[in-house]
Amino acid sequence: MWQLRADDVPALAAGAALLGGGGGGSTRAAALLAGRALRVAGPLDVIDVAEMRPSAHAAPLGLVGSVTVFEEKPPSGAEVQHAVTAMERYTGVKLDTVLPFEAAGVNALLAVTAAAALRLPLVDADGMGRAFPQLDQTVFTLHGLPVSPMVLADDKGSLAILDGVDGFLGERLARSAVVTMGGWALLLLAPQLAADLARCSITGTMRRALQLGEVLLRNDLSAILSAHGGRLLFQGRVVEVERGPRGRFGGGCAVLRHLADRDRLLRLEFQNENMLAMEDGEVRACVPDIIGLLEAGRCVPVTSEELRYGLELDVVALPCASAWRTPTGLGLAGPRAFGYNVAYTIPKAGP
Amino acid sequence: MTQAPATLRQLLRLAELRGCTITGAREGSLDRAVRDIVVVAETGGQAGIPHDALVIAPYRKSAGYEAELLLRRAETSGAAGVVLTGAGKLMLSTHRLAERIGMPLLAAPDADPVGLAWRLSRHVHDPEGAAAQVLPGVLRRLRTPLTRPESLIAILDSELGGRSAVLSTDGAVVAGQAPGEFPSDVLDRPVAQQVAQADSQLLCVPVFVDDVRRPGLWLVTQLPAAHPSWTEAALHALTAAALSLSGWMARQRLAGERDARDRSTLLAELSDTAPAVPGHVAEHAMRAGWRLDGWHVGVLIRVPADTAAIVRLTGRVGKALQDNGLRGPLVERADGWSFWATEDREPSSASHREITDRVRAALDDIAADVDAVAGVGRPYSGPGGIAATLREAREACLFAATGRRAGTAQRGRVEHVDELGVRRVLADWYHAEAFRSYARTLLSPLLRSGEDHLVETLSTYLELESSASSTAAALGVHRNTVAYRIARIEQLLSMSLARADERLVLQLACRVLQSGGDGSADRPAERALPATDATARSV
Repeated sequence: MWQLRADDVPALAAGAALLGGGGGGSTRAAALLAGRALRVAGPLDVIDVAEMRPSAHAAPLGLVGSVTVFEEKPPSGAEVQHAVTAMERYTGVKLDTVLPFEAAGVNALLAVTAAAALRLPLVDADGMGRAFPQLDQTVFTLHGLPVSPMVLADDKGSLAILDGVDGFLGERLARSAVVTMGGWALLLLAPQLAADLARCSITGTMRRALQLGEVLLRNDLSAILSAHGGRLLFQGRVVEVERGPRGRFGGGCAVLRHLADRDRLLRLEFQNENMLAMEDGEVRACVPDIIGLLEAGRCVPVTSEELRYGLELDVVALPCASAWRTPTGLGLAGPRAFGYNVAYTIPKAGP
Repeated sequence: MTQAPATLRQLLRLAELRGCTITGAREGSLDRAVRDIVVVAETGGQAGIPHDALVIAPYRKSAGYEAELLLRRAETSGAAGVVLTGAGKLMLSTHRLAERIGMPLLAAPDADPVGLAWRLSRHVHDPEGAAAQVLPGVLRRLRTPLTRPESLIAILDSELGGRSAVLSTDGAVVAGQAPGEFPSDVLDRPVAQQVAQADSQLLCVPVFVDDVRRPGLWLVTQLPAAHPSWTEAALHALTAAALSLSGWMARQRLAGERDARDRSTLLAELSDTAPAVPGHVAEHAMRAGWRLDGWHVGVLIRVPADTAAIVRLTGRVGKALQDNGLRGPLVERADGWSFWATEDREPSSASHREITDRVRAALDDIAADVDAVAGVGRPYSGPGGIAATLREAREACLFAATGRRAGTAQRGRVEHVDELGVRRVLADWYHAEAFRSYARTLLSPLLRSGEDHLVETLSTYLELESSASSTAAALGVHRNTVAYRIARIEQLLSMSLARADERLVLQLACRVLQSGGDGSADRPAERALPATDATARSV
């Protein structure tokens, strides 16, 4: 068990943003909320899955919908309590802890806010180990854990309980409910047994985000490469950005010209998250590995939404959780799952 | 059957690939052979790409990265090029990759990949067969007789995909658009030719009309670089087009000859019957648009050489006269043209100078095409006036011809009968057959001497007031040479140029001899003409 303090929030936010791999949304508003929640509730206990009683219950939670809308229409603060109460009443299970289903981007911070508000400890584990656009792209789906019943709560007090759905259908239903709820909603997935989580979840993601963030705040790019398994793919300036429909979400691609060798170009394909980095027609890195963008010289994570002409970026690849590199993992979250007709490739560092 | 394989450069000029933008073409990569066409629907697929194949694939804007994967695959399989159909704007990285690996990348804005492959496949697998369709295509459109050379150019341009032109034998454009650079020696050899140029082929086919050794026109087409069989097929098609063009030209020539004959006959009848013109002749004249009443001013234009070209040049001469404000009938004669202008009132006495100037300007305009002299008659009225004024014009024309030969100034090309004055008196001498034969006898020692320049020297010397230095300047020889020749002439003729009588007789004899008529005696003087002319211009 370790404790997360309000002072740690900036580092956590930076690390979570990098783990978002270009997606996960802007962490600015969520970091403010998490900081305030921790100042009010005091340091938050973060426990490992192994430290839980095997029969204890933990529910994964997070935001579904648009982060942009979330920033403009902030939460009332009561959504989490509503959702938990509804879930406990519906299932008859008392929640012992909560955990983020996506410990990257906004959702890593939102889980901290929720746990602080609920005065419950936070489990240092999640279902993705990075950011993915779809709810069913979790290791819970991969291992066949039930995700329903799930509860959606919005800032106006509306609640929706979805039951009898698998990951795929749950994603579709939740997504359509969110539209009606005003763009975003808090989602609470079915409570899981600590024993199942120990077997199936991706553990230590919160600590990884915090440590990455501390390195980023120190502006120490080399430590990311040496201590966190990162690969520096490219250092270049954005020379072309094109956006358009990609799959179910918006996306696009950007071309970066290398700062030192002007003949080198990197092509970045993104759909919320960065999906593919190609150079000279060869895949340098692809999902499910994390392709992160950092503002050159400042180590500030940049989301794919913020990509614009002239931006100077360091493109780094961080390894994904090992569960994603299995054949079934790649089937759910590999390049082909996103419509890219390429085989998964281990990230290659620059020449 | 072994054929030369098509190259990418040759395929690029086809209508199927028109509008493509191309990147990544390196030196020589467009000249690589294309031996196969393959459609790749799935870029990630494992289906092999044949060596030297042109790869055609649909471009999906939302999956532009596929194009880059495909370029890589094409490169490793040794493909000749990649065509992306439906590709509007490609990303910079795609262009750059094509350039880096030197793979020609064609972005075809809108096309169906399979349809494109099918259409291109003919040109790759059977270039000879594809080219065989050129000739029938041209022949089909040549079924109707040609009315204008411009329509032939339109047919050739659309069927051959090049730029065609009809040129005259001196390279001037008759119809169409002249090819950019044009080797001038091509038109010297009257056979169909194929000239390879930087990025194109120039095909030249002669069009023969009356002379089987000298083409009347040239049909020229500039084709973009194409497969040899295509070029050959285009040459066949041009030959067929040349036949059609020669038919058109023969028809034009025939109509021109017929009109010329009609006009000449009418003018002859008019002259014969004047002044009492019979009704049917007057009617013919009216139908031809000739006015018999009013005041007529006649002009006779004479062509000393090349009388065969008279009918062909009628249009050109008519236009030159018209451009200089002279409107009226133009009738072909055996040795030139008769022309007259008709006015309602009697022209003023000063008008003859103006009309002489205009005729002179007209002759200057056509100087490049024909070397002509002209005479102008006085105004006469009524139906008989035409014959009268033309008779005077003929007399004046005679002087124009003599004046020129004597090496005097250029303005002597046109003479008005009014200005002749003293020379009119001499005209009777020129016409007198008795003096004519005497003149030949008198000068025969010079003509027989074998020294051609003697008659010329004598004539120039006498015309230039017996000045040895002026003569030397006019003939471009040394003064002493002139002195020597004069001595030689005096010796041959046994006459002295110091005596006025003998000088007068010799000058008259020279003039008569040069005024034309008897060919055999004239020949030495004729041959000396160009030299005299050139000298006269240079001084």
